[in-house]
Amino acid sequence: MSEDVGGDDRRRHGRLSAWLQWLAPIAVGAVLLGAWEWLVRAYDIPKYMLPSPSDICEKFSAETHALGQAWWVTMQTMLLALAAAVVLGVAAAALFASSRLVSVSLFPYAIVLQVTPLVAVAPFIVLWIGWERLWLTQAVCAWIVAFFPILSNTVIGLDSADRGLRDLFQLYGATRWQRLRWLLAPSALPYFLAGLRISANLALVGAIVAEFVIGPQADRQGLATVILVSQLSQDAPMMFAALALVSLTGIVTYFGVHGLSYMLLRRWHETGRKE
Amino acid sequence: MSGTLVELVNVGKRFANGTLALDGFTGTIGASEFVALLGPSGCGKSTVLRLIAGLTSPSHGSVHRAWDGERKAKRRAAPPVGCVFQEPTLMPWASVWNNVYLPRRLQGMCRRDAAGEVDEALARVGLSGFANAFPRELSGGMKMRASIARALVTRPQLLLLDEPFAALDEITRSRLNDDVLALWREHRWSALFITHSVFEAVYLSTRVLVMSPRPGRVVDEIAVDLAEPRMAATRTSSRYVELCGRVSQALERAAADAAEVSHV
Repeated sequence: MSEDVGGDDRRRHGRLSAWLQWLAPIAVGAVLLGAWEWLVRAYDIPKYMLPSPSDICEKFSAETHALGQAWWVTMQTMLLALAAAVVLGVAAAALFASSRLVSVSLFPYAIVLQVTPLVAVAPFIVLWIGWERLWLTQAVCAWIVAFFPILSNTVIGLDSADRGLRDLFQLYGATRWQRLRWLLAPSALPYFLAGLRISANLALVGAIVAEFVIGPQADRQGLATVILVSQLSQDAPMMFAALALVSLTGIVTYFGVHGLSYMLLRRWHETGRKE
Repeated sequence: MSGTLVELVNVGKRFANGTLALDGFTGTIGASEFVALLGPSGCGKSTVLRLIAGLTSPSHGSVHRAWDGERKAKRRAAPPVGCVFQEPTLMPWASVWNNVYLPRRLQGMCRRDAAGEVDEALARVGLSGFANAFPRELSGGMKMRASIARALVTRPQLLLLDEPFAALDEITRSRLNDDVLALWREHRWSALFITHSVFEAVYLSTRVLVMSPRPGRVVDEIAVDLAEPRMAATRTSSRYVELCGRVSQALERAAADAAEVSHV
């Protein structure tokens, strides 16, 4: 009873990679920003055409409060849309997995949501929901974009459960709920998390595009409004500062979901492996 | 069916794609018997196992199981059967303990009530020290042991083993053969062991059923009267060699007959 277990070399190699994983993108970023700064200064490019990173930083520190407020408005829309995408995407996937007939009947309509251009339908969504609830309109628009990857990935995940384990659950007379709870849901988890990784940033993009399409509001000004207003007033550093905030949010969100995946999968799934 | 746990009578199985996997399969498994089902790849051995486990139904013929009446009375009651598949089929997201607990969990037993049985099953296969490990932290042989512990945790009347050691190296395979035999000697459940290894079939079983190529049916039945307990020396005994020879000849005859029929 003394067969081989585990492998330390792999873990040591994983730690080395972790350092590189942090350092490499920071180094690339520093080089790119340095080149950008040099280019703007060397060729004396005017601010309205391309502000330098130092101009953007200056603007960032001068307008921290305004940018922070706008960021929080966008985040609220994004988080609401993402939460709805998770709840409805997982519920719809479970429904699809429960019956082949339901799945083949409804899946084409789920694809409609994915391919519908947001720009085309947003005005109608405003009309349907009403001008007094534009925040909800924005969230619905962002949800439309974020919903499909979660649905699609979770459906694939629920279908990916090991055939042998399915047999085993059948042999021991598992109920539908037991099958879903103890077999299908854990099997689908890695797929769901991969979908979440895509959807989280799509929800961010959706929240910004929705605000662009619906237009600025007096009481809820998100990052898209900041970008629009700064474009109109030719305040390029402010626009770039807002864009930088969007990019940073995207990166943090991506790695946040990545961290969540690692936490949930590291003990048992290949995607949780750090190699 | 006195003393007989399972009886298949003239069973045929045709799949949805038209493949006829079994045709006229007749065979029995008696109480405390260790039956080896031997045949070439694709002859329908696993289909026989699935029929006995109730995972699929015959296209014609009948499958009688000693526990069928009891199950009809108690709807959704799991059969007193344990299954070990070709792959360990462990839940990778669950610890070894939780994997072994699975059958009891599905029968609605809480962890506290099942703990004794789970710990005992793990001890029987020598995995007590790995209860909290995850499947990917185990070697192939240990995974298969966990799979056997899971099959035994419900104290089944019949253990179905579908080429469980086919993917393992020779040393691990031989050791697991001895471990399964030791468990069987101790508890005397019935077993159906599917294999395409003549040597494994003879070493483990009390009776070998030899199947024809597809569509599979039993073409020969050979009683194995090797002395107990079986051990490394058994593999070099003249009786073992003689029985292996007989079983090999039966397999060759079955293949030759099938080839003749297909030429006609």
